[in-house]
Amino acid sequence: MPSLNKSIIENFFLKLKSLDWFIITLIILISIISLLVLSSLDTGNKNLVEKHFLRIIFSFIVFLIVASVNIKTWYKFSYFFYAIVILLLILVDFYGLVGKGAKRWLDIGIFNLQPSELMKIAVIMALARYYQYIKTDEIDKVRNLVIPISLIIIPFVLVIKQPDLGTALFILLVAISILWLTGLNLKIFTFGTLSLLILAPLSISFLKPYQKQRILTFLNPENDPTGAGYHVIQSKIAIGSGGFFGKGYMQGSQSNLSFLPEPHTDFIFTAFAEQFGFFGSIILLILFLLLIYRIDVISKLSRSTFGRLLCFGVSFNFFVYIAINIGMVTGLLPVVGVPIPIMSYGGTAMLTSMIALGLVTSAKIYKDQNIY
Amino acid sequence: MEYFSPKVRKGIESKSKTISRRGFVLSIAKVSFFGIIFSRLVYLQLFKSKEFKQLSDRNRYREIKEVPERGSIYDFRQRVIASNNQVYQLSIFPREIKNLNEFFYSLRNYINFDILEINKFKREIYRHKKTKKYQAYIIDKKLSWETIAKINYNLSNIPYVQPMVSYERTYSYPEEFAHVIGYVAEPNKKELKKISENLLYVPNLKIGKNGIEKRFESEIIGSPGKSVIEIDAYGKQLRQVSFDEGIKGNNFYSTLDLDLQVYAKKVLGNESGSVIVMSTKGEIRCCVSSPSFNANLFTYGISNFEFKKYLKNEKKPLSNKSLSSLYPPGSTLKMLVAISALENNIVNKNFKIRCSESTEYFGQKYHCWKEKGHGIVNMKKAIKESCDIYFYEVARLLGVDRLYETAQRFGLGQYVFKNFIEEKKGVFPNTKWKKKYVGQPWYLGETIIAGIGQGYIQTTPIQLCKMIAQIANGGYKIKPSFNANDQFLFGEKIIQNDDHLKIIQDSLNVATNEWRGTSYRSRLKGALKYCGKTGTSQVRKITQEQRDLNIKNKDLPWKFRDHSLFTGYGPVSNPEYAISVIIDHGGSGSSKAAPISKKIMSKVFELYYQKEKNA
Repeated sequence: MPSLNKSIIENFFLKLKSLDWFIITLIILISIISLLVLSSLDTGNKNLVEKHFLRIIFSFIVFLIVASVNIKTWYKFSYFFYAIVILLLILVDFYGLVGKGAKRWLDIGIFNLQPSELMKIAVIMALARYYQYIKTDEIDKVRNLVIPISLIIIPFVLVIKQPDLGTALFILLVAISILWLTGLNLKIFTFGTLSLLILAPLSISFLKPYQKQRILTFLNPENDPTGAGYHVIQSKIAIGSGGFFGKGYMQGSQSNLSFLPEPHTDFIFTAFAEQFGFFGSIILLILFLLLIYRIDVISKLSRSTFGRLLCFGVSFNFFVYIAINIGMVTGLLPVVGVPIPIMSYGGTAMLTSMIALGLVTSAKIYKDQNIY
Repeated sequence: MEYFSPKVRKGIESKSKTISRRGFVLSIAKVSFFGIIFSRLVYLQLFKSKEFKQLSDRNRYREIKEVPERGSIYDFRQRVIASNNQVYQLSIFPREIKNLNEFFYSLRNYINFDILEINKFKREIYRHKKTKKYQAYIIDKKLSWETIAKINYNLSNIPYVQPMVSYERTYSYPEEFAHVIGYVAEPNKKELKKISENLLYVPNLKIGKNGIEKRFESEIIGSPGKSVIEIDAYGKQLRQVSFDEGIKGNNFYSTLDLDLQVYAKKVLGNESGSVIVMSTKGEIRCCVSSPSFNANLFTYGISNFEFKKYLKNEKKPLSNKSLSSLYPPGSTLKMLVAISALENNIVNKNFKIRCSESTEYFGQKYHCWKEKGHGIVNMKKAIKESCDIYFYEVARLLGVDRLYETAQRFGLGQYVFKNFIEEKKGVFPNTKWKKKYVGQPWYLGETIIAGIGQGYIQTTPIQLCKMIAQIANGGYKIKPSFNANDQFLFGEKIIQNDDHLKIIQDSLNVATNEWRGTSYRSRLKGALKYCGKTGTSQVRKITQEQRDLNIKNKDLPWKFRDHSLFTGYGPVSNPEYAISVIIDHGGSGSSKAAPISKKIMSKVFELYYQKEKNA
């Protein structure tokens, strides 16, 4: 018995050691910043910080569980997970909660689950699994394109029906990045891009009025300063007025006097940048850049194609989150509700991010695991 | 370098290498996008941060300047002529309000707006948003104190609005004092900058546009109050950051006499003209221009219809005739010609000529107003009966340049006031002037008609009043003013020889108070007498043909009739008040201006002497 005990403890410490402490440090730092910003906001919702803290803890536990499970198990579980999320997306269509003119959430008791968020990671897993088997020189064959394209189109259509154009395009973008990584012929990408460009004007007619408005507003926000462009203008004012060192902690007038829309979720970067200025923003950007870089490094360590694709997919996923969010709050991109991973107040996004990081860590721990 | 080629070399390289290579391309994309974000942050937070800081403060703070209370204007017995009403209004910052309909709807519990009003305000607010984006807009509806109190009490529940107290100018006698006091109206930026930078962006501030309101603006206007209020994005007030109370403008104590002004306006009735009474020290007691307008109408923007009505009136109710209408002085200049001739030793009081109907100079005929002529005329008789022929001759002997010197000393062709916007300078010509402005040499014929105040000479009623006051006061220069706080002291003596003065004063006395005097019919019979000189100034040249036809003045169209003038002073024994009356196109001086002067002077005596007598 003692020897068994010893081996369990030894095993535990071994696993603990093999956890990626670089990623964990970054998670902790970003979480602290997030809690700091949330507590500086006077949104009327008083237990915002507590709730977010609990979510961090909960998601962190999920992260540890996911990380400690063998990557091979996740490989086997991929299609099943994908199927569950698809099922949830269908359920949203029937039983979803309505908010902001769209059905996006499922009430699962503890919190409102947003399956489209989970889909961002599910689609990466499913595609990574599919390409595990495909040989490099068979990738471009049409019969080998049918399944991955279906894997992308189904969730895309389901999410766009909610309607949530932003998330749908997000899923599409991340999925395409996987196709790109597998070494798909450039011609197919060129062809795809061209057909998208042709289809884009057509698809505009299918957009909801508010979606059209957003695109128009993005093109010229000052045109309608009190309407849809208001958010972007106020956000730019908040970021810009932060200056080099910021207005100081708790001194963000834009975020605290409600000029900023949703300073705790999509516009949390703005609230941060207003208080901590250029200096703070750059530090935060570096933290995220390091996180992405670290995931890329882990990707290269992984022996299996599944692990590599998964990690690259997650890193690109994080990049898209940050790029779209900061691009949106600084007025570079149209306003589409995309949060910042780990920072933004929001259950599912937090969970998704942590699951994704868990998978990456699992890929690191079991980097030498052969999936064959 | 091989990483830069995204092309897959099939069968040659392993799958994992393909992924790494393509992953590297993605990394480049990631880093470049981070570069874009970085430069965007540099742009927003470093280059544009000053601008955004300002915008952020504008979001956060509502800075409202409060209209200061204008100083009241009093007459010389401290009776109110112009004062202020307190008005309660709401101000808003249009850029804060996202939905105007909702906004007005939210106010319905407090204020009854009708739909027309709301539409009018909405239109104005849209315009305001475009032109004065960062300034407050005042909803121009006067609210009761109860309403304002109610709104103030519930302020935390009513977004966007800011109750405010402002002041509205009101005139107790809006027609009588319209010209001399002036009126107030919305200013433009340039005008405000001239007075004080501090006054910029004060919502609903009205400033004096003319008259005393404008001339003494910097004293009357006061200093605006300012409050800074912190608000949230919903326009709700959070706290008052700072508050400076405004300073009320100084009261203005004028020399005007309410009784006399009102009376003079009544006497003028529908006539077009002007009455000025000043003490011989220069205190202006009344300064009426007729017809008049309602100054209260201008305070909050006169309607287009009303304004056009005033503009179209041929009697020009909007112009202050006392200061800005120019007239040839006609015979009222004759005393000055006489003084000039006496002081320059050109003639003495015994200089005589024979007046027949007309005389001839250089082949040109010059007529006397009296068809049969005055016979033998000396200076006293010439002034008393206003003989033209006598003054033709005196002027010829005197020459225009010497007459000009004298006129200068008496203030003709010069501003009476400093910086009075509507005042005109008039013209008193000399040979140099003509060369410069007309470009021709002086003709002697022009000297001759200058002797009876015709030709190029253009004077304002106030100049004539000042002139006669300086004759009345013993020949001392004065500085007429409306400001009771001025020092009214005699200046330099401009008639050196008291004998000369006496001749003129005696002549003027007989002109009114002796039979055959031009204003004998308008004399006052009581103990207090006044005297003065009538004048009839032609607005057209009388041709020989017309003279032969003997066209009567009253048969002419109004516009071509002579102006009727009178300048005088009283009491004769101890001159203290000078008067000038001008009736546009009123005919001869003795027929219109003199009778009006009689009424006014009798009122002057009643007002300023009756009590002393009783006491």
